[in-house]
Amino acid sequence: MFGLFNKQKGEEALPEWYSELQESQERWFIFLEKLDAKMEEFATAAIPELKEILQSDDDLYKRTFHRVYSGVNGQLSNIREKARDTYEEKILNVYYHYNSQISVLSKHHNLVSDFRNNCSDRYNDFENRYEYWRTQIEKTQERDLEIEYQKILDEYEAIKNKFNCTQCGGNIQIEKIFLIETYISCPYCKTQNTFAPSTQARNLQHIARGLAEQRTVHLYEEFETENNKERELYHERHELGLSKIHESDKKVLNEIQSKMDDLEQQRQFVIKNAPKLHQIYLRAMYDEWNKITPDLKEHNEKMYQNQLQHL
Amino acid sequence: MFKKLFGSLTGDNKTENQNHEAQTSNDNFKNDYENEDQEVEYDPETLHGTHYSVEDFDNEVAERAEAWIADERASGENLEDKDIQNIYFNYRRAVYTEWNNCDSDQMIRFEHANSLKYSGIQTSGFVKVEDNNPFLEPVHGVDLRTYTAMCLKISAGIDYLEVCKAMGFEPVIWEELNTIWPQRMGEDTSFTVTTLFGQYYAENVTVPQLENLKAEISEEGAANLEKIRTDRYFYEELAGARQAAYEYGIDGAQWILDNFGINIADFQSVAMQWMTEQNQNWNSENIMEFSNYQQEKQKEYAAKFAAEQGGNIADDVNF
Repeated sequence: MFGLFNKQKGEEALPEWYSELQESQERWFIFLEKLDAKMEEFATAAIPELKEILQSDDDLYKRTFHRVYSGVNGQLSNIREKARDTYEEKILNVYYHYNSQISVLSKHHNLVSDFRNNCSDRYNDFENRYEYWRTQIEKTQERDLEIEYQKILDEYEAIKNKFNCTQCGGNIQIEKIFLIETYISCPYCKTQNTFAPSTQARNLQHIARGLAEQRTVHLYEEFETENNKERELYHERHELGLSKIHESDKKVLNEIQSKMDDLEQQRQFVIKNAPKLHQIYLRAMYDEWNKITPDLKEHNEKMYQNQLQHL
Repeated sequence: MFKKLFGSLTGDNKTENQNHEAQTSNDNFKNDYENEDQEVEYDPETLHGTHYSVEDFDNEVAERAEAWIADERASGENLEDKDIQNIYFNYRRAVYTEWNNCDSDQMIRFEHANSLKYSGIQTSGFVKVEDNNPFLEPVHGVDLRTYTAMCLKISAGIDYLEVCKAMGFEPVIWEELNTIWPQRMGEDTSFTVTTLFGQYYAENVTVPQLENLKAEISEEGAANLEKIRTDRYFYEELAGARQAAYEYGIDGAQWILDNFGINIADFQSVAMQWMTEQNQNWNSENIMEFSNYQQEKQKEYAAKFAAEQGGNIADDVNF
């Protein structure tokens, strides 16, 4: 007991170099705090701007939006790189230096590893925040495609009876939303007319998939949740496995084992079930897609078959 | 490279021991080893060593892979198609490296040359096309090469109506071509259409009907274009600059056109050309060198763009 007491007392006398580690750690924390603040300030200012630009960008391809969007992400990456470079230069290098100087057997070695752990935990926090803002910015791209689709449908309703034959002037019914220029022959004089869809209607083929995905997102989420369960169950089981190491009570051990078996059973189930849910989602999404652009159905079905091979 | 470092650890040290016998210095050892690498003669088509037959090779791989698969199954493992493919893939690498006593670069070149055979996927620079591939049937009489030539003209900035006129068909036909060819690219799981399109694009193909349609290019632009085609470093510099431009909210393709007079079609064509070249002459050291160079240049241009825009937002945060 006394020996233990002495030892603890001895450890309290911290080596001189510890102050350098402390200082680096403090600086690192303050530095990241400032970067966090910058990032938040920048992102919260950029997000409404981006939404505004997307709304007011009349360009079909939203080129202005994409330029600004890419610039915003560039700044965010710049902050991230700054953190990474500083981490390597000011934290890891210091750590490597002391780690090579201080033997792992030394009673002070934990100061070195704690330094690294504290700094890297803080760094991970920063990375998580970066990911958070990045996702928030990504979301500004989302547009309600239902609105765009409705506009196309309204336009079609308005024009479908207003196309006349260039030869005889007879009215030609536009039977569906054409995605590209198409020859239509006149029912009266058989002259071949070229029907050119509007820019907006042409764009339907580019938004159709997005719209179908938007409509079936709940099924995608069900699949995702199931798919993620595999790792969760694996880790849960692994934790239980570790807890057995210091357990000697047979009864407790048996209980743990049966829990583990149960988890493994669940895990095997999700491994089989996740692809099924994926397929349910894909089928629903393609069905929806085919409803929106029946002309692409033949092509889409081939794509669907190809995708099934990789589930 | 892997073998030079770890050859003795992976158990294939027989040839190395033979080398050691007459060695006096490390330098000699290195030279000898490299010479020995070159002693293996490769079939120019399959890149297999000529001292064995392809059949023997495939059999050896199958034998080892099946033994491993049987073993795994015997110990209760549930192997999926994907796992089996991986097992074959790994043994192919092992047997090839062993039988040819080669480095990993040579092994990757071999994989590229045989990607269609072994993984069902084409690799740019090694495209193999069988007759009667339905994906390559002409559309309205227009084959993939001609379609690519048209795409090149249009992305170089020539109005598609002009291109149609030169080809002698109505825009309706172009729209169908431009729907069906991309659809085929999507449907073709071997990527033959896509890879071949890329290869034609890299070659900057043209057809007689389109030869008189030339995108405007300044004298300086023409000189720069020639330079990125022949000077890989200059190409990497502009690729880095373009990337940096996007990160500063600038349209990179337009920026290249404004500052170097090279349009996006020509730039992409050269990019494909270098990619194909890189696949054919796979050399990891060179690849690293060029990739580092591009990153370095990207940083330089990023600093320039940042300065023009009054700095980056976190410039005032210091450690």
